[in-house]
Amino acid sequence: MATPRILILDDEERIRDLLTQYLEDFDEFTVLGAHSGEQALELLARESADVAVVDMRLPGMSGTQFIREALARGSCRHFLVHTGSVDMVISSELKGLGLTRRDFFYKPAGADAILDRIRECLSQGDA
Amino acid sequence: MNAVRRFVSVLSLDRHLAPVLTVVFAGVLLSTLLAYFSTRDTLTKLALGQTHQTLGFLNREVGARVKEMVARLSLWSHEDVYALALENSYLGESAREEATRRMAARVKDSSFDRVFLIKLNGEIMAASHPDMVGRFTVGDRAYFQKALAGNLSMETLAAGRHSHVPMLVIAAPLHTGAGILAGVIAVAMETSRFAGELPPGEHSRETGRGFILDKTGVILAAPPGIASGHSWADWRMDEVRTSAASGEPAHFREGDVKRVLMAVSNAETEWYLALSADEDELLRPAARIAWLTGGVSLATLALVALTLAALGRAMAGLRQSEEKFSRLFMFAPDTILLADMETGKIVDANASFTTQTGYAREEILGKTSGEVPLYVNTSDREAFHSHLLRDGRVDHFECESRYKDGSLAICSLSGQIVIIDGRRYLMTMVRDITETKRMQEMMVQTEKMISVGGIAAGIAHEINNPLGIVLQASQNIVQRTRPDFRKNVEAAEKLGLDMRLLDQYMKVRKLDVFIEDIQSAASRASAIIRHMLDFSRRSESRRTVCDIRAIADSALNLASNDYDLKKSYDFKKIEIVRDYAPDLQGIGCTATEIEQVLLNVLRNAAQAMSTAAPPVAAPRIAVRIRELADRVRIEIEDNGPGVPEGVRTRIFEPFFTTKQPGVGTGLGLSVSYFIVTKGHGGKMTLETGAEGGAAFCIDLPTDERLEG
Repeated sequence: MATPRILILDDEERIRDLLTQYLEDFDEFTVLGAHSGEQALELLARESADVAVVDMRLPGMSGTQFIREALARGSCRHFLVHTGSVDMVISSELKGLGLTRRDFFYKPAGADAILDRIRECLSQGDA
Repeated sequence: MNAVRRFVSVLSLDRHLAPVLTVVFAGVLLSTLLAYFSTRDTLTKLALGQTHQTLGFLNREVGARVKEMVARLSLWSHEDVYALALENSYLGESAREEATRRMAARVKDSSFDRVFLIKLNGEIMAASHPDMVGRFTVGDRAYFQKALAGNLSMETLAAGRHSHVPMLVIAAPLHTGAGILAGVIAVAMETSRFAGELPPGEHSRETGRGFILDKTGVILAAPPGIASGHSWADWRMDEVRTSAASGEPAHFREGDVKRVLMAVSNAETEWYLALSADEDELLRPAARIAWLTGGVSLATLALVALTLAALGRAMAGLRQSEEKFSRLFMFAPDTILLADMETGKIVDANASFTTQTGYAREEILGKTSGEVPLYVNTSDREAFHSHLLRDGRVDHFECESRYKDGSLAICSLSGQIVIIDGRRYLMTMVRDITETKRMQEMMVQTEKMISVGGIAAGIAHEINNPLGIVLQASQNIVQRTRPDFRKNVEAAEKLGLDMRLLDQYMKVRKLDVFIEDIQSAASRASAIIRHMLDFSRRSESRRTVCDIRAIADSALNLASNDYDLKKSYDFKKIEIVRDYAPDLQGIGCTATEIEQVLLNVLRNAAQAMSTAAPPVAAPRIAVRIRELADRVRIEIEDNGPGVPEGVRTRIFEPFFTTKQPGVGTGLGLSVSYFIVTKGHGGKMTLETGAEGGAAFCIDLPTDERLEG
């Protein structure tokens, strides 16, 4: 069985790398990185991902736009929001796309917490 | 009594003055009446006395005349010619001529009218008026018979036989030289002659009448216009007799007219001399003077009453004004002190003084402001006074004050020199502006925070990203130095590094602690930013109708799962008492914000109880929700150590914290305060709980408009 594919979408390379390296250590996932929504969609077009960790503020299309688009294309099953934004309220649009409070991580967020949630999502998906 | 009360109320006199004035009024009224009656009485007596005197004169006059006539007649009766004239002889005849001449001569210019000689048989033999002779006989007359008996006699005749008018007749016996009774000589006088003597006295000028009456009531003499002679049966003989006997005036009515009558009895003639007049007329001067006296008194009284009324009104006005100002003084919300400028002693203080400072009024009266330790800095007192002396007044002089319980306050003093009764006083108004100042400072702080929040919002995203890198990088360090992690072990083995040694080294050199420091510092920085953002948040757009009970439950749930709190204290050890009103209307608010406020307060309570020394035996937090008239009140009360006084006043101040550095940001409660007051138009206060713990009261208005 192929390892679950995790997409890290963040325009800041260090954040992308840190999270990627953290997750890769566990040998549980195949971790992909993308610096923009457009690039990510391209990546996922070849092979879909199981969970995407999405930054909201991105060059080009926004995180929300990416999630909507990716969902529409069926390129990813689950989305986690990893944002430096100060708006603590989940927008109704994202709510409508099936995200819950537990899918939101505000920077600085612990990588361990993100890992826990990823595992949770994957086990849900399996069930 | 009612009239008096009404009168008093019309005058609106002072309650104590009223009886006094009533007595004075009654006294004046009484003395006026007494003066009136006594004056009238005195003057009446005087008038009557004068009348009496007049009668006395008349009486004496009548008496004197009669006596004179008697004396003359007595002399004449001894003249031989008269006795001789009664003889029936030649000598007698010539004597008659002589007697007639003599008698006529004597009548002339005398006070009597006739003289005549009567024979023993009653026949008139000779007279001063010859036409009397032989015309009639007087033998039946009493005076004649009495004279025949040898005595001098006198009779009043209702009508003379010759003149047919009332007459007074005096008769004396005549004797011959041999001593034999020859006849009688008589003088007659028309009583009306006395009318000339009668007064229209001073008091009987107009309606007054003088009368001479015989004892049967025949009018002997009367003023012109009233015929004498006829018997006045209707005349007041009873009154005449009574008055003559008693010497007092007699009063009677004649038709509608009241009359007064005085009479005396003449001893010689047995006549009554009477004066009668209209009582009113007689007493008019007396009444007039009495009325005048009384009138003057009454006018004075009226003047006094008017003056009193004016005075009463003025006093009432003054009293009202005084009451108004005294109320103003006593119940003014600010302290007002009145001190004598010369002695510096406080002479008055209002009720607010006691409420404000805790000192009783009696404690400071008679003392100077220096003797009462109200000024914290004596230099303030000096500055205030020098300012006052220079400008005559001081406005809003701020100084620090110490109240009786030792608490400090900031006061604003305004002073002015006022002159009362020629004495200079210093009137000082003291306003406690501690709270205002604190609020002002807090508002300044809050405003600052809002602007800080605005800036923070702009940079938060940029700061959170590097903070995320810091946190995750340190997490990666931790992960990649773990000796039990397969990948680490593999990499180390390739290099010939013993991971267990590395782990030991990390612990020995405290690298693990440093990494933890990096992580918690990043978290702290991020928390500060988040809280700062709370100040800039505009929540109105997210307002919905919420059930406060659900929000409270949610906050309690969050608190029990709070990661930060778990580190220091287990929220689950705290007994939570939920006391929610069963029927509660939803109120418009931003649920997440109110949840945050409640969470902040709950955290604060839990932390305070966790750090309390000695520890709180059975920690408990009570959450009460009550519906009040126009608001919902949420009370969160703990049984912890409570909030010390010094902290209490600053508890909502931004960045103020009593916690260890790194434990609190000093923003939680201030943000909460901001959310409740600014964001929701509510109130947030700190009270002392029933068990001495802290009790936060959050009032949210129910009528807050829902927007968006």
